[in-house]
Amino acid sequence: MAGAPQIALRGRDPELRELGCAVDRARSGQLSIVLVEGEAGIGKSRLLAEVLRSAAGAGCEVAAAKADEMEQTRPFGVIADALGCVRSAADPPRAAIAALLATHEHGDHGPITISSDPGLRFRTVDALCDLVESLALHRPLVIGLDDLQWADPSSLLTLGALGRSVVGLPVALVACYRPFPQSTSLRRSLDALDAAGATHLRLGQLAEQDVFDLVSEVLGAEPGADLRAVVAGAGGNPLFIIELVNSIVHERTRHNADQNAEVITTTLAPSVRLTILRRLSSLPEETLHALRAGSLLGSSFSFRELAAITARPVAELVPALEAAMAAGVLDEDGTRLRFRHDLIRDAIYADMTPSLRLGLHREAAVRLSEIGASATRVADQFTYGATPGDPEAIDWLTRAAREAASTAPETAVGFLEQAAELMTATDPRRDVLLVEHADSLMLAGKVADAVVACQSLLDRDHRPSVDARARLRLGAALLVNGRPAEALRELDAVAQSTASAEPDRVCSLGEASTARLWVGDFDGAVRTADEAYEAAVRAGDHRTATSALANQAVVSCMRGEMADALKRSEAAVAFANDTPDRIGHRYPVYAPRGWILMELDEADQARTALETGRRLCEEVGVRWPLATYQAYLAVERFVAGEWDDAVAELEAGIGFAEETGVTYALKPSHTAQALIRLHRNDIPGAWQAVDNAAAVGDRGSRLFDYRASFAHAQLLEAEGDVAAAFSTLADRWRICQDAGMAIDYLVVGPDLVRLARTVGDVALAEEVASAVSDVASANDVPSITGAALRCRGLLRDDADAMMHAIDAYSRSPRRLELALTCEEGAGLLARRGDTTGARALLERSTEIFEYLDASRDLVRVDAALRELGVRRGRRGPRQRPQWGWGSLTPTEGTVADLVSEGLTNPQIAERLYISRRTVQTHVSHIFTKLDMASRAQLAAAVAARPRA
Amino acid sequence: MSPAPSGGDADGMEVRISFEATDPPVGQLWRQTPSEASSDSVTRPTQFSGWLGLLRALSDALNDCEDIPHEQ
Repeated sequence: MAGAPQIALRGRDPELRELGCAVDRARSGQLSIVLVEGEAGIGKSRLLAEVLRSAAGAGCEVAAAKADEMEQTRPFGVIADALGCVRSAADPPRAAIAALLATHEHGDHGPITISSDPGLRFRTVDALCDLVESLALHRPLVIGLDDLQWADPSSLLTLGALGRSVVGLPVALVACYRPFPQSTSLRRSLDALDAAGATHLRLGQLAEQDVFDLVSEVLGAEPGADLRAVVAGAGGNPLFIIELVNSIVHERTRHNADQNAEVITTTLAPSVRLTILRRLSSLPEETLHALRAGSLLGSSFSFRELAAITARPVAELVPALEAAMAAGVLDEDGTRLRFRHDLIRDAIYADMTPSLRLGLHREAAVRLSEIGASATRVADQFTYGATPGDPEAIDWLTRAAREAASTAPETAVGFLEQAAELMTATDPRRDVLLVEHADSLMLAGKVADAVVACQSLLDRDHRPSVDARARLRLGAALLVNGRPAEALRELDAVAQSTASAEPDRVCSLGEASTARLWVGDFDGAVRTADEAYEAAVRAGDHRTATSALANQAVVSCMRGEMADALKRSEAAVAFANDTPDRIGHRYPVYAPRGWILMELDEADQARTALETGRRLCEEVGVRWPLATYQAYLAVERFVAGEWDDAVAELEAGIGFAEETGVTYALKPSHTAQALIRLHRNDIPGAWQAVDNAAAVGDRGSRLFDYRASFAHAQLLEAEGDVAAAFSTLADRWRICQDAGMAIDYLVVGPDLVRLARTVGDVALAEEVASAVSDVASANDVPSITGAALRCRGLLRDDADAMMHAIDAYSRSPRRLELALTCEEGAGLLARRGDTTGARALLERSTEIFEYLDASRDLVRVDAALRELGVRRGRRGPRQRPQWGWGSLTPTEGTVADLVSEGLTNPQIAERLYISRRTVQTHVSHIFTKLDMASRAQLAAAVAARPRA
Repeated sequence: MSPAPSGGDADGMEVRISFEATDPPVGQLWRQTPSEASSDSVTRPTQFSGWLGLLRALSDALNDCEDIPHEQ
């Protein structure tokens, strides 16, 4: 079929130049992002087409697609289209992504909840980012996305992720959108792309000369004064101008003597819609009928769909469609037909009365369902074509919600809201559906909304049968929202109610155990976990059973009963591994296990456990626990004294927490950041981190509060306010004691003993030392023994105890504690006249502080050495330079080498056993430090770099 | 809007449009010529829906008008 001739692009030279530069930047190996904003018809698509054509001509791979107003519910629609992810793709990664997207299509499955399925959404996001990265490694890639205002939330999420993941790769992303409407998802995506350095282009109206040239081309003659006056009413909008001129031409223009085209009658003030319709009115009725039907389906549609909804064979539609194409109303788009512009489709669509559209959409829904269209495609039609109480619409909307839930939870939320709206207040399924709606909100990460949804259901008259389910969801949502005390009230109500169904009761017991743990009620947590475990095993609820075992392990750890903690955490992992289930219940158990192993000084095992959990999360596509894993991995690196790596892991973990809203582990992350900055003498940065930890407030577990207080006290002391530092630590001590958090004694103990002695509170110093000693006697763990001996040494000025503490810490991975203990031991040896021994210990602490790059501590130790007559000479704090090769940390150096070998971020992550997010952080640090912007540039620099 | 087709002679013709709704327009249209008016008769109403329907109804009415013999 032949389409209308293409009209030259006019008046966009500056924008073309800007976009050409973006493509050139990509071709030189850098990521460049351009966001093109402009009203409908202003020429965004035309500009994009021009850029993509020229990029393809320059040897770039081009991936382009256009979002459709009627397909906003299709998960990953526009991005998957652009990258060619279809089941039939010859390229395995593309076909695999298409298969992933089809996982829940046409399946007979029940509601998808946050606990039943981990979701495919982030797995798909990662797979798409990996695909883009691997495509870009072969040749420059230009991605052009049009009409982003209609893009589905998952595509928009992927765009934001791309902005982070393909830094330094030859990728140009050009995205066009209208100023209105702008959904929250679009806004968030644009913000993420801005953060990745996007530039903005705003297309305005064409200049007068460009309008003149455009009209001349359309007419094939220069316009006369009257026609120019009429066209001036089109506001410099090229689509409007073309439609207007075509319309006038159609209604018989005449050529005057000067060969100027002129209108023969005055017209009413033009509007785009009426101008378009006026032109279309001359098309055959058959064509208009087909166009009306097509407009119901969106900006584009297949012959098969059109045939189905018009109930006519394709062959009969061909003449009508050919007429539409000849008139420039439709274009061919692969196997589909597309309205040449959304405004044309809008004009046709809006020209039908609302009641007619309602009826036609409903009919279209039924006919699409008959030809086996996806549930979301059918439900989209019901969205516009259902009347209250329509049972078929309610069923399809619910089905579509379940189909979309794992890849596009926001879409599922929308479908369920529409289904609930269609239901009458007395419909027995409505409350059940609203509970499912709350689940989808949780999956979508809208935890606060889930809380409100459950509360509003529970606050009104509701079906008693859903009470427990709604309350259970409310409890779970409150817990994730960082409100464990409120969660506990709801969860206990479910557990204690005789009306609760057994599965709900079992689940609530498991959640209540976690809530008790978070509020610091360890006895209650264990009691509830015991009950939950027994009930869960009976009921076959593996998730609750696993979580109960993990909670028991955490309580043992908090109480300082480390052998028991280890045993229980092993049991939790074994149980999770031995119980195959649809539920992704294996991934959470490795977090407490990793933490426990860390407290046991088993750094390697801890890291392996945490990495295993993190990988499981990535494999099953669950995003929310990743923030916790990332934070724990960072803390492990901090504890082990690998601070450069810890800094990168912390940054990545905090990014994850911000992205997912999971604040559980933010406190230890900010605290570790504060401590590293303090020791590296960045006091303002340390205060900032302490403030960030405080800002988390009660949104999370109280288990980590002591760490924030500890960093706060250290900073107060660093600024000379010993009394405040003491009082902060002493307060924290009482809280730990009351809650039985013995594991915290080890962190707080030595500093509190020292400060208590300084302020003269010997009784407290004695009490603390004794409590730490009790924990040590119950555990054979080097750092716990070290802490007890250090407390004794500080309390009694006992140099021998301090020497034993040094021995103990030497057998643990805790470098910072070892260095501090050496420094304290040196002080005691010096006081008893053993300057040789003191010097040796100070040298040892110097070595460690140098390794940690702890400049603040080095200044202090240097001063102590000078007092002993030792000058460190040329050795100084490592003081790594801020820029250049010398500024790279060892891991950054390794990442730079792997980048230069052509490995992608996921491949580097695999090789170094770190998360891809951490690799992104390293790459970004490398680019900043080396002042580079592309992986190609980095590879060349690595190759040219003289090796030591 | 300029509904005057060139070549036709619409002098004396009257078009009446009744709207049930305006955006999009829904209603009916009658054409009445002077001769018809004198006999107090109008054409059978044409139902229309949407601007496209109205434009086409109007266009049909005007085209029909070309076929009617006019009084000199």
